[in-house]
Amino acid sequence: METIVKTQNLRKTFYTGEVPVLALKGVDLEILEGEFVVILGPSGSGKSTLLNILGGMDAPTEGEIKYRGKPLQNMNKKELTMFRRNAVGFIFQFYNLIPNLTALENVILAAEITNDPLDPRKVLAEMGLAEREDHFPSQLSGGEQQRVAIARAITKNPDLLLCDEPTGALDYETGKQVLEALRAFNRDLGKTILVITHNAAIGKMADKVIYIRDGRVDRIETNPDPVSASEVSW
Amino acid sequence: MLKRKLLRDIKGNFGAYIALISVLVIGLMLYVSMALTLDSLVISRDNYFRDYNFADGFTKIIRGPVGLAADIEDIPGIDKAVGRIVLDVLVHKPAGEETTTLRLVSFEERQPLNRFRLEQGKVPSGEARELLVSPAFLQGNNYKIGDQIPLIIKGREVRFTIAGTANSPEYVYEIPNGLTLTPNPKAFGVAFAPYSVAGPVLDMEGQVNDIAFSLNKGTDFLDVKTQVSRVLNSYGMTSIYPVKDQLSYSMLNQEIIGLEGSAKTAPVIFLVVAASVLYIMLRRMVEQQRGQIGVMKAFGFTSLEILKHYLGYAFFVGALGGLGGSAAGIILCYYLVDIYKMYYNIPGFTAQVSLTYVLVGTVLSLLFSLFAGWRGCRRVMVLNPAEAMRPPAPPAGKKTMIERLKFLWGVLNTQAKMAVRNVFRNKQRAFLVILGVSCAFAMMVSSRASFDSTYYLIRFQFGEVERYDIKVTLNQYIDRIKGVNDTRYVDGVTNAEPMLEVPVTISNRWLQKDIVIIGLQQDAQLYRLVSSEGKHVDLPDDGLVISNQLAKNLDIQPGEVVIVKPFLGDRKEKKAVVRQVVPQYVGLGAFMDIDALGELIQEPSSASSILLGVDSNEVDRVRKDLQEGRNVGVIYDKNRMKQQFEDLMESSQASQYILMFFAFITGFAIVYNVNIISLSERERELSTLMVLGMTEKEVARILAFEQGFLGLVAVIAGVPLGYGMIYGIVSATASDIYNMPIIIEPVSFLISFLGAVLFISAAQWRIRGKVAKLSMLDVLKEHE
Repeated sequence: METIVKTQNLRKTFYTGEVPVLALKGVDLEILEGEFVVILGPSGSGKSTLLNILGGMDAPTEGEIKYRGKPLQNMNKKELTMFRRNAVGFIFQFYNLIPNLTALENVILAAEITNDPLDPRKVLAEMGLAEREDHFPSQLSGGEQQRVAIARAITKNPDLLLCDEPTGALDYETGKQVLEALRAFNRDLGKTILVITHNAAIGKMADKVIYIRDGRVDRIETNPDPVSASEVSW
Repeated sequence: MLKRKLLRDIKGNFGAYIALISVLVIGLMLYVSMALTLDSLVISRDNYFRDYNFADGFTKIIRGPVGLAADIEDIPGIDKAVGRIVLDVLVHKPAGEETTTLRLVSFEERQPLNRFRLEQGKVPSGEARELLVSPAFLQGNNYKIGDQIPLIIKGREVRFTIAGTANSPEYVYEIPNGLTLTPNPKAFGVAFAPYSVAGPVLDMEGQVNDIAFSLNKGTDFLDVKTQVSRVLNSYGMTSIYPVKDQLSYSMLNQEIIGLEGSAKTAPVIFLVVAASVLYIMLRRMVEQQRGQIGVMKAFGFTSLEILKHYLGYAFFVGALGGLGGSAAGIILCYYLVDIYKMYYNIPGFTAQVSLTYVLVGTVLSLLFSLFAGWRGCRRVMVLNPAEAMRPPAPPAGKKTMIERLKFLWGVLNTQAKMAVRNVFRNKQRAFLVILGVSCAFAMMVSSRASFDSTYYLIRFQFGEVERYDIKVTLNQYIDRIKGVNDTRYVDGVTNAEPMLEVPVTISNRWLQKDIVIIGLQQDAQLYRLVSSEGKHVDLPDDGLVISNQLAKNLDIQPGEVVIVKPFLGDRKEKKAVVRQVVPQYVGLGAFMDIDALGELIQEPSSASSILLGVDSNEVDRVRKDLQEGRNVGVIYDKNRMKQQFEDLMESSQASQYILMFFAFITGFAIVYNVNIISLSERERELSTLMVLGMTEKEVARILAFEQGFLGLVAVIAGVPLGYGMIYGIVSATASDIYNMPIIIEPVSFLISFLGAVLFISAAQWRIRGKVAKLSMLDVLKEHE
């Protein structure tokens, strides 16, 4: 399998006021195309910073990050925007839907800016939301909102899907539904998925689990037999 | 400590506060400057009129004995009366220079009414040929005290020595007649000569032609009008009018009314706009700082303390705006007074700094701000701490009315749909933006329109209607064929036509007005009436064509019969049919066939003026030649008048630009502040879009679409509002002497539209910078 993302000695220092905070202290990792990867770590471990850099929203202070061999750290703002636009899909803990667009319109919005989108209506239907497409986010449950957010990310047909605590705000059952949807996207379309969480149970369904601690990769475990989402419990 | 928070919050949003305060400053500056100027103007006018015994009534006769004044004084209700000689004479000048008319007004020592105020030099003793001229005339013609001034009286040159300068309440606005709208000392001035000198020189010894009188307390002008007319009719009374119709008084009064209107309306627009913006800003701030409010409440701050803290922002804005505006207003007042002094001769008229207005202005500013502030943050009071610390309920999206227009909705892309829904999501704010932007647009339109209207008036009156080059007003009526022949063959004259002007009282039912009917030949080329459709109007054989202003004044419909009573001839009342009403913007015009008008006063073939078409290269020579004529009273050079008027407009262009600038600032402040608020509300939403891969441009475009949409609605609403404003301005300044048409040229709409586009874009451009600073990283964080 081809390498899709690779980092070398990735470092990030924040300056909040006078005191430098070392969020990443040299991260090396490699993600292969089509993998379902879970990054696990306690809060403050630097996993969100890592996700931001992987998603082209933030630049490393030092080190290298390559997407399909192209270094992201050298890209300008415009190129990074295009990278986010065409290569990456995001799923957030708090869904971040646009409140005054309906479910379907939220998905269409993403499709409109992408080169090779999937049919928004179809994607939404696959998420089981065909009946709810005309509803506004405030009329949807949390799980439904998160599924709209997944549809929004998927419709862009990205090669890399980045998910930040996608189940964090959801109840158990809904959380599992969401994970199933992610897994399906990974399995059926062969897309790479990277989930950040501190919920260790999710690691069981990953091909690879990367443990982050104190700004460094603690260890990496490959999982030869990932379980399905329905078998995960926490 | 809360004070520190206040200052830091303000610092953090400095641009928005500055924009807001600017609008307040503009509003209060206008208010304070106009109110101060108005006060000074009214007080100095009243003092002046009282101290120099300005008369209550005025009459003009052909001539009558000096003793007439005493007869008038005997009429019950009349306090004092004074008889004078008032005659316009020409200043003898070399060819090529402007024709200068000097109005000689005789005076007696210890005159009880219409006394002048000596400004410089000494009062002529009455022994030598000495006179006093107005200071403006002295200065405008480069004379010095002691200079000789050559006058043409009865066809020969008579030299007077200028003994000094003087102003009179009768000539506060120094113009010869209602056709001349602005003073020009090179063309007209007033001079005062002792009766003992003026009488013999003007061939009026023992005679007067002008009587002014004052009324006893409680007597109305109309109570004495009939009796005064009865006494004076046999001396050829040509007019009788109360002080309110006195030319100079009326012009000043109109100005005061206009200024009063502006002082009461213009600032309100700015204050309301500023208050609205402050309201939405504070409302937003309270929403945004819910968490902080909750914490403060949890700490034990009372609701009132917190409310006081938030009102502190309003107080800061109101106090700075009030003090800044008042200070700027005082400075502007000096400038305004200087402008007024260029046109009005009122001794003792100076800018007065009054702390009252600084106080009134500041209090006004604080009231508006604190009210807006209270409306904006009263919700602080009802929040309980636990509730306050929870994030507010998410904004509910819902469908809007526009979505029912399927065809329209269908063409919008998702970004545009977002923008439209967002506009409807916050209707109150959208309404305030539309209100503010349409006010700013309408202000731009109306400030340009007042120029459009004036230029139209000049073009219409001096181009379409009055087509002559020179009008020669004669001292006495002459046979019109002779008059035309005498002037027709002066070198340079291409065309000559007679005009007959007859003063009359025209009445319709109980409504009455003293006017002058103008008699013209039916085939007149040099003075042509024009209908409202712009077509040439032929004079009927009999009956009247009147101006719309007169028709309005006397409530006359075309086809109605009015009563006309001439001041000349047999003075009998006669009936006349009003055949047509035409637009006229100068004076209360009424027109008749010259023959029919002559019959009315039993002088069938006479003329009072001759209109001349003159070869444009020969105008100076013609004027010079005409000056020599014995019967020549006033030589009126229309093109010079027109030029003077256009120059005046040209020189006051600055005021237009200043007003447009104010409107621009106001529009910018609204759009910018609302944009900031909109941005702060939707930071998360917009940065999500950027994470999804939208460029800054695309994100800013959503905001731009919103503002553009609101701006478009505002501009459409601003069109009638602009018409309303110019209608207000025109109605406030309309008088019997002149009334403006309501004209807004398309280019004015275009320029105002561009102005609106510009301030919206400028605000948008500032926002672009803020969009660039949106942090995508915060998106992933938890809600605040």
